[in-house]
Amino acid sequence: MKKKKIIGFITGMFAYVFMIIIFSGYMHLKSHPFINAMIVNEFVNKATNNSFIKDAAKFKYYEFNLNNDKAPKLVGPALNTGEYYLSYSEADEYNATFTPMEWIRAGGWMEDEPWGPACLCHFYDPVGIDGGKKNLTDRATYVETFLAPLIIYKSRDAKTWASLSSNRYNWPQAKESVVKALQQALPSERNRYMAIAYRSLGETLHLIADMGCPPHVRNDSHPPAAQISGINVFGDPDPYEDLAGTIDLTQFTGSSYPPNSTLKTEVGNTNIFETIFEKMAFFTNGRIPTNQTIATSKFKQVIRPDNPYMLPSISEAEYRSDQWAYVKNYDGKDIMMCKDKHPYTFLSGNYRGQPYIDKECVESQASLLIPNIVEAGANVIRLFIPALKVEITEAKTDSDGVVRGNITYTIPSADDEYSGLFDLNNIYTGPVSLFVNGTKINAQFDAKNGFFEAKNIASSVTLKKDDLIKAQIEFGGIVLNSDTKKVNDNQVNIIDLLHKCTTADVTLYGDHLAASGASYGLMMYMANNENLSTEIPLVWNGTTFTANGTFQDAIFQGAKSGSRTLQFTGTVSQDGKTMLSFSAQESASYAFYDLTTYTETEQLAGNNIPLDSYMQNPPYFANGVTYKFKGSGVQSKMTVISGSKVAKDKDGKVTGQSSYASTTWNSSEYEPYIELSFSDYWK
Amino acid sequence: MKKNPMFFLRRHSGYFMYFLFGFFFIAVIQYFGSCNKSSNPVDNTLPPSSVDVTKINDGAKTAENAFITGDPQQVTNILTEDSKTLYKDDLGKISKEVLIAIGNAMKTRKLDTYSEQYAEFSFQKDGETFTVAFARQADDSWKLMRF
Repeated sequence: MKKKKIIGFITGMFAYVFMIIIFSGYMHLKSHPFINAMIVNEFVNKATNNSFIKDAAKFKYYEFNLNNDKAPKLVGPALNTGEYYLSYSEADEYNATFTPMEWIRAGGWMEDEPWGPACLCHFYDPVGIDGGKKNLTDRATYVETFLAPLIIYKSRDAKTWASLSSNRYNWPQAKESVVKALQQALPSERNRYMAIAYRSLGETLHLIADMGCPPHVRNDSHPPAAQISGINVFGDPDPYEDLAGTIDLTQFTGSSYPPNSTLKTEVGNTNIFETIFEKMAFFTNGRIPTNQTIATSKFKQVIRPDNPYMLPSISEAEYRSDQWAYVKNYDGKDIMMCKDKHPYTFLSGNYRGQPYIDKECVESQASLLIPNIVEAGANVIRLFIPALKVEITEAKTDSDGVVRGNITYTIPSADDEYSGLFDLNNIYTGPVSLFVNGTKINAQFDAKNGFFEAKNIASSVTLKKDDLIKAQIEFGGIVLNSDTKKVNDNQVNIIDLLHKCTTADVTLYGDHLAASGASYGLMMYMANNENLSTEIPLVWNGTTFTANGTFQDAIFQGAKSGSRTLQFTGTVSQDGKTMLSFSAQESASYAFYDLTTYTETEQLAGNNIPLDSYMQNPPYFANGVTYKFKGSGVQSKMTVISGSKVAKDKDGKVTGQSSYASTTWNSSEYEPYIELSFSDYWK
Repeated sequence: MKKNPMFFLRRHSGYFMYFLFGFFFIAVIQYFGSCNKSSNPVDNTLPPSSVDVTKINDGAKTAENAFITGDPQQVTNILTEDSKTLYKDDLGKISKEVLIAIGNAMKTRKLDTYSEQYAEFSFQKDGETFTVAFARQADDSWKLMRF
């Protein structure tokens, strides 16, 4: 029993050491952050210079302060302490303060955590050479024998892992964190979500870069040697993976190293992250072999010797005897596939043997792969930026300056990466900056649920007609601007609107009393200039209108005959905002079945009735202008109020009569108002 | 007869308990004894400063000596485990003279590049340049993975 315990203890120690050794083989700390930085720089360059194939309109209004002196410092969860997490939780993280670029770079190495398990998920064979499996199966036996708990990790391919929920900082997390950030009114919360978004983006870009690393797309594991209990396991570091981190990758950027035109088109035209992922993996898989997946007519692959990849075909490559190298031309550049010069053939005169990849090959291959990784990665960031729009809907000098607007998600396509993620009723809650003629207003304005209304701007700046005003929001160094808008630019010309109106009426509402002391009615309603089938033309002459004429037809059922005469005229102010004066008189006489004759005359006149509202929305709504004044002060606005109603029988005998005497101006139950309405509703 | 896995675990519970003790014992030592990962591991300094070049050169010297013996078994001993498999058929066919020639030629070697796991040397023979590759081992020694 004691012996069994000792064996168990020692085996446990070995198991831990063994796991560390295995996973340290996938060390990639240096190159991933560096490549991520190159990707970010390329993205900013493309977005700024409008050189993306798609989304030019989207980026027109964006600015990116990811790595300049305006870049914000964002506090968020990061890994820092300890090494080789086999798993980690929030408790293992600390609050780091990084710029957006630093977060994206940090995500480049954090994707390798938890150290080991995550690395096993970084493989994606687009060809599925091993029975269609796209995950890592090379040396599967060792993993299954010694690391049974991690088999579940090994069974995941990188494309699946990029969106899997158990991968905490994955591609969906990147997008969802942006959505949440935009909804946070509290700057610290918004920044925290953006930190998570950038870290998740950085971890996703790590996987994109892995798709440009041959062993990761050719089912070729590459950890260093390890032994346990005398059993040899692993032990074949991949030259490309190891040496790519030791060469200056920046030399492969710029106009001398353009990406492949086909790949550029494919990743540049898609709206889908997984398409970029897939295209990058295919690109690498079919062009560059790994040290252990080179097959020629004479030599088989080291791994899976009887199940080689069909591409790239080394046998069809040009063999350059002076370099002892196979070379293929891609995009006008000679890329060294592999060499086959070996010293063990000394004295034979022919030095050729099993093909291999050395430093010179790695540098040559990196010159092909790096520009395409950067292109693919920049397009991933393109998809990461949501298609938002800031719009000023109203900017006017009224009420000491008012600016209204909204922030919307434009839904550029059904397959947009953010489709379905936004709550369309709450795209953005947070600060909005306003600029007048390019100068930022020194005041804080806020949007809520996607809408903002900045009032009393005059307290910060004098707003004048034709000033150019712009709204701006910012989240995590991403700046989104509106179009500039002229102040009062959207002001409706009331006079023009009135000239479109074809009907008019006037109403004096209130508790009206008759001379007899009885009620005269609530409405003194001057019939408008339209009948059921005819109308008296409303004629505008500048700021003056008239509608004078007579209807000869009956106006309602049961009336045998009748006539109605309308005299309606008035003058508005030059800006149309005040009805300076009006006068309306209507006389009507109707006969009912030869039994009764009804005669009514009413007259209203007044002045200085203010503009109440207007509409200018054809074709869905009518044009309309309304002047209205309400309350006891109506009395002071009216200069003429009169009315009389007389009913006579067929013999001419008066059967009823009433005439207007007064109005209860201070009535709370029937608060008086005078209203003049113009519209083209019936048109 | 198929055994119940739980029966197996119960029967060997002592072993598994001590297995876990051993596992976490080393984990604790490793946690407190290791350096923290840099908070900003973006340094692209070339070559990696964390690699002990002396050990790479020691590995190369050991390889040189093995070749000079002209003994295929000595050469096998300085190969990585994968390379032993890769070269097992060819190694017996390489003449003693060639092995010795390689060893002597390796005296002119130059370390061209290295990473934390991989290193390449070049050397001259009759006006021709040859390269060989080494891989770091679990015990931090370096063994030949390609020649």
